[in-house]
Amino acid sequence: MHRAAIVGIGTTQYYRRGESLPRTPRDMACDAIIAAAADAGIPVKAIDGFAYFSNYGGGIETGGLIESLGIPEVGFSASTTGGGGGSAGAIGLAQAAIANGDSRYVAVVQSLQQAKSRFGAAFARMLPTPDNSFYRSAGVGAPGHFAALIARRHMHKYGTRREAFAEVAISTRLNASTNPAALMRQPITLDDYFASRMIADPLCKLDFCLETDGAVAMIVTAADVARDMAQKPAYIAACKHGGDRNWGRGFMWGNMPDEYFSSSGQRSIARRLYAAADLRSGDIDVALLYDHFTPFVVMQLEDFGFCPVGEGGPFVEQGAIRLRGGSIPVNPHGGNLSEAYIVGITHVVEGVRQIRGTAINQVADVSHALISGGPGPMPLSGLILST
Amino acid sequence: MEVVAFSPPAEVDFDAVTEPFWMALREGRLTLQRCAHGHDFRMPPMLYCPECHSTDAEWVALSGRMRLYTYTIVSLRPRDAESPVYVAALACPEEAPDTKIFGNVIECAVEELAIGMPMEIVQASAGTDAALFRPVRGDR
Repeated sequence: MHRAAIVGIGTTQYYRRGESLPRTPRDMACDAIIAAAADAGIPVKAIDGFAYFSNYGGGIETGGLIESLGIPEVGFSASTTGGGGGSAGAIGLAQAAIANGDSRYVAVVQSLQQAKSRFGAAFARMLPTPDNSFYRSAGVGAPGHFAALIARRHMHKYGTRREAFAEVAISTRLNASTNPAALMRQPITLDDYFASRMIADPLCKLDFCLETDGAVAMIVTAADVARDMAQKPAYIAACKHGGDRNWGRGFMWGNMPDEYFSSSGQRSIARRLYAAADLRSGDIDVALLYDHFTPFVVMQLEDFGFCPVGEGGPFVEQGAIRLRGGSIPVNPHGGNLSEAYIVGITHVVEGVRQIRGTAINQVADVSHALISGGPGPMPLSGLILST
Repeated sequence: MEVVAFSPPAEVDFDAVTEPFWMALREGRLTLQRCAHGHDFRMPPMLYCPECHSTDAEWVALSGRMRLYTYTIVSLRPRDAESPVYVAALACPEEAPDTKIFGNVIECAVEELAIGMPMEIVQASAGTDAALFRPVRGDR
C-alpha cells in the first residue's frame, strides 16, 4: 500500500556553471517551487513542509523561502546529511513528514549555483585536517580522483574496459540529443571518447558530469490526497537511505574492504529498497542512476542487481542500457553527464515523468522507475516510483 | 608524458592520534596503529578500536614493503592535453594487506604501473609530506 506520492514537479532552465548570475539560488528555488505547485494544482501557500539534501549549493534555507513565498507556517524542515548521496533519499524525508502528520504538502528542493565555487574542486577547498591529510597529501583532492582510483580497481579486478565507460557517455549523450532542456546535445562517438583529454586516468573529460546551475522542486503528499489531484501520481513504492559500514565514508576513506572498494556502495540500499517495495531488479522498467562519473553507472547496474557484480562492463557494452533495444534503459533524459547536474535531483524529476508517461524520451509501459542517489559519502539512497 | 616527482604540496595537519604515522614517514619508515587487544590495524588512525572500542593502541613498525592496490595518473593542468602528470595511488603494506595507504608513486614510468607490483616506502623528499612509493627493482 503506497503512503505518499510525488504530485508536482518544477524546474528552472539549466545553465552552464556560473551563468545563472545575477539570479540567486533562492530566486531560482522559488521559481521551481512556484512551477511545482502549479503543476500539482495547489496554491504555493499550501506548502507546509520542506525537505532537502546536500546544501552544498548554498543560499537556500526554509526561512528565506517561506519569507519570499508568503508561506504562513511549516511543520517540517529537514535535510539528509552528506552530499549528493541523499538526492533520492530526500523524497523519503518528505514521506516521513507526511506519515508523521507534520505536513500535507512537502516541497523537496535543490538549488545549485557554482559561480563562486565548483563542486569539482570541493575537497581541495577544505582546510587541512588530521583526517583529510591522508588523501590531500597525495594530491587526491577532487571527487574525480577518488572515482578514478575506484574505476581502475574495477578494471583490474573484473577486466572492465574503457569502452564500457565510453558506452555510458555515448548512450547518455544520445538520449540528451532529443531533450531540449539538456545542455549537451551533440552526439559523441567512440573516437570522440578516446580523443577526449585525460583528467585522472582512466577517466577522461567525457567520464565527468557537467558543472551546471539551476533549481528543481517537487511536491510530495499523501497517497489518498494524491489520487484526486491534477497529475497522475508517481507513488513512492519505497525510499531508503543510509549505508553499510563497509562503504563508510566511501571515497574519502579509501579503506573499504576489497569486496566493496570497486563498487558504488549501493548494495545495502538495493537490498532494503527492493525488500520494502516487494520488487526485484527485473520489475524495474527504467533506471535513473546518479551519473557523476561513468564508472559508477556500471557499478550501480551491478549493485542494483541488473547484472552480476563484475559484469557491468560487458553488460553495458552489449547495449543493455540503450533507450532503444536495451534491457534496462538508463537516464533517458541525459543524466548528470549531458542534461544537467543539479546534484542528481533531476533524476527524480525524470522518474516522475516516466511514471506519468510524459517524458521526452518515454520508455514504453513504465510501471516502476528506480532512482539512485549519488555513490559518495554516506548516506547513499534509492527510490522506486510506481504507477 | 612528463611525470613530475610528486603531487603539488598540501599542508598536512595531524593530532595526537595520527602524529606517529607522519613522524615515521618523514624518516622513511612505515608505522601503523593497531588495537592493543588483538584487533586489526586502523587506517586512518582513530581513537577507538571499531571492534572493542578500546582506546589502547600500539604502533607497529612495518618493513615498508607494499603492493600497489590502485592508482590514477592525474593531470596537473586538466585543461591542457600536454599537461605533466603525477601518480596518486593506494598501496597495501605486506604485513597488513587489507590496509590501504594514499601516496604518490615515484621513479616509475606510467607504462610500468601495474596493480599488484611490489613497492617500497621512500623517505619523504623536500617539498612533500606525501607517502612516496617506488617500485622494488631487481637491482636494488
